[in-house]
Amino acid sequence: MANNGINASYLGAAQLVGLALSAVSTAAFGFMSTPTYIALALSFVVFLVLLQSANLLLYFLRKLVLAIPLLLGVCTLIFILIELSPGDISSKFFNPNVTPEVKALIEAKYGLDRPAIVRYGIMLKNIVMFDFGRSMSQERPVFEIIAEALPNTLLLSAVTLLIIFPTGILLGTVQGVKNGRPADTGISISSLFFYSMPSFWLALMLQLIFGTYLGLLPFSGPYDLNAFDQTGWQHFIDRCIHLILPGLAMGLASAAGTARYMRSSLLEVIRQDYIRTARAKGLPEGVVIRKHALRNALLPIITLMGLSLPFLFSGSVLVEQVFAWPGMGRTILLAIFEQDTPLIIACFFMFTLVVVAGNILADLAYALVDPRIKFD
Amino acid sequence: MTAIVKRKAAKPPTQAWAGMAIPGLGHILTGKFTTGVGLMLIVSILAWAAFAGFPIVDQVVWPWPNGLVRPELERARPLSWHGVVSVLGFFVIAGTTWFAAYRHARPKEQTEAEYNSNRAIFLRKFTSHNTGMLGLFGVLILVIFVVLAPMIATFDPITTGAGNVSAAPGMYVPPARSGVEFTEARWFLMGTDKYGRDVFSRVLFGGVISLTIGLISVTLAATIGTVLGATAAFLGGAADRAIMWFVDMLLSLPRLVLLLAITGMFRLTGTAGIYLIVVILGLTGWMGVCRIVRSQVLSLKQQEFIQAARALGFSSPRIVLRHLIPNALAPVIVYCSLAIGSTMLVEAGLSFLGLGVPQPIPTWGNIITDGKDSLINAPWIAIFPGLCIVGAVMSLNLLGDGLRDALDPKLRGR
Repeated sequence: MANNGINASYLGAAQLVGLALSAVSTAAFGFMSTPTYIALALSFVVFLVLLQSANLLLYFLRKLVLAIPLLLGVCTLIFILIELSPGDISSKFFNPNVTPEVKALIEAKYGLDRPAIVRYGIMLKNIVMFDFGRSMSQERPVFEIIAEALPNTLLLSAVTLLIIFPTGILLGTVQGVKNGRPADTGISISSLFFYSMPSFWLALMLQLIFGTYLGLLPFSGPYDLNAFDQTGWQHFIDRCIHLILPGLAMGLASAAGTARYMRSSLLEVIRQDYIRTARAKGLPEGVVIRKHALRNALLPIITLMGLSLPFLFSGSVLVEQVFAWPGMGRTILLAIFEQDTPLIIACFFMFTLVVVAGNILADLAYALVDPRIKFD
Repeated sequence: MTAIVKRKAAKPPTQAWAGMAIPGLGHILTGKFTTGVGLMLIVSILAWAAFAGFPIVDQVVWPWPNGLVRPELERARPLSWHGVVSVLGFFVIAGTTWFAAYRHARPKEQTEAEYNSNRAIFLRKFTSHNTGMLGLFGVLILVIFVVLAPMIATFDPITTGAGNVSAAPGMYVPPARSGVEFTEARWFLMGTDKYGRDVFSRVLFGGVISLTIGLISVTLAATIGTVLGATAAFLGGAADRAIMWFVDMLLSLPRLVLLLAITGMFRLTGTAGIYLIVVILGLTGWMGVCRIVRSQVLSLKQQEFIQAARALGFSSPRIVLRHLIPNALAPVIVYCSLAIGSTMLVEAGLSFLGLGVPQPIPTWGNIITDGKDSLINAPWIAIFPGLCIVGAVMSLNLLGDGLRDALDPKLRGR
């Protein structure tokens, strides 16, 4: 049993503070800067300190080891897909004026003349070395491209998480408390409206309303065009303003989903005996909801937090395209259009890594806050 | 033993007979507002199709599969198979609506056994579920628009130059010497796009493609998922572990990204592109069904009726197909009605990125892409197909919620 007396809210707060810190420092000091690393490392250290239990650490490590065949499987699947598809990057250089010798030279340059099994071996070696080789379409190391794009997507995802969970939990709690009343129905219908909306259409509508008609917020891009003239604070505020619309476009649908989850989870908890006991001993309703019901109802939401990462990354492909946001979504789309094998593989590797990490964190957090879960 | 008692039919209220004249009026008068408004909407769409649509069925050429790739066919304009289907569909839908409204307005006698049958309980639960019925009517209206698309559409969805370029919604009267080919006033309900095509007609035919893709690919996914899930649970051991490992691997990739990789690498033009999207969406959407069926079959396998079937010496395929799968289907049906909506969203996303259905063929995602390019000058191109997606997906979600509440005994009475 892992009942080590840790309060659920500490862990959630630690995660959120870590994410917020890294988001803020990324916004303030730019991509891949030292403060970002420090903030991320700090949140991880807080997390490990909160673990406190050898069992949990073992569980954590076993999950990590199990993730390795999964990552290799994904990369193999994508490699097979690329091999099966017609054409490769060299085909864009081919035209009737290119002689066979030049054609062979181009193929040799990208290593496409070697047999597939050799290229598969090179790919595996690159993945193990965490190097990923050289991008064919952009003619520079893949690692460099990813290092530029990934922080942008992580920043957007962190802001989206900060929009999704407070909003969703608040709305869901209101719905659960006011079950069956007009407030519940109203929130239900409006959240279903956002839940059924394609994120890219919502992005276009937000651009239209806030960017064009009201003129309140910037239309697109990660920062202002004259960002290089700005002082530190101006730049920070500018970046925050540019995050609002993409964050809303990605977050509103998931916030609606979270509210639905939260509502049913709270209704489930409210029917339990211990809530009746709390009411019977004369506690005010606010205390019953806050101290007794809400904490237990939050348990499934913690899992949802980790599981929402794949949806965030899927959403990022569409929303980044609308807002011209230089993140992983745009990178992977470009790589696919250019049939840039090393970049595609690296993108998929990073995507899967983030998703697997999210799953592990969700499992772990759930196991940590719910003493009923055993692991061995 | 329960005695078979004839339940007395409730006396129909006098107002209910108003439904004989106009389906829906009787329901509204007797207080069933949702049902009444839904029926009225269906009837008004049918009336519109009958009066506005019949004259133009032979003018609208269904672009797929023949019209698009062979422009020389455009001059002939034959009555297409889709036109024939839509005229037949008109009579089928109209007849069914009137019959259902009549039967529903007039309660019929039923025995005690009939009253307590699963089907009757499900129907009572579902018809008293307000939002579920709202979703059902939304889906019905969507289906009617889709079936009657050639009758309702006012212009050809593919041919350019139905009106001026990027004309706002409303009536358009061409001024003299304007250079456009037509001289009479034309009515564009949702405006025109940058090639002068009528957005309303494109949205209608886009609905045909989007809904068809959603339905067929979810059916495919449900079939694959059910077979694999039942196999995994029934066989157990290594087969179970292998299948579930594969499911976990596919689930750990964001679906849209996997789809991007596949459709980006195998790109086809024309009709073949639609079939490719259907198959690929089906092949990447079965994991949820697989998990549901597996967990259902795992719990069903322990029950007495399966042991009885084993004791009777039935073969494994027979036990799986005749006993396990039918009993595991209820959550699959609910999942599918929710999955159609999400599949339509994914298809719209793919088409929006230019990796879905190839361009001149209208789908809701494609039309939004057209609208993205002229968002500020002609916002109506992007707004209307998006509203259609929201309406369709919302109806499907409401229907799925209603079905779940009516089908799942655990949630009954909540």
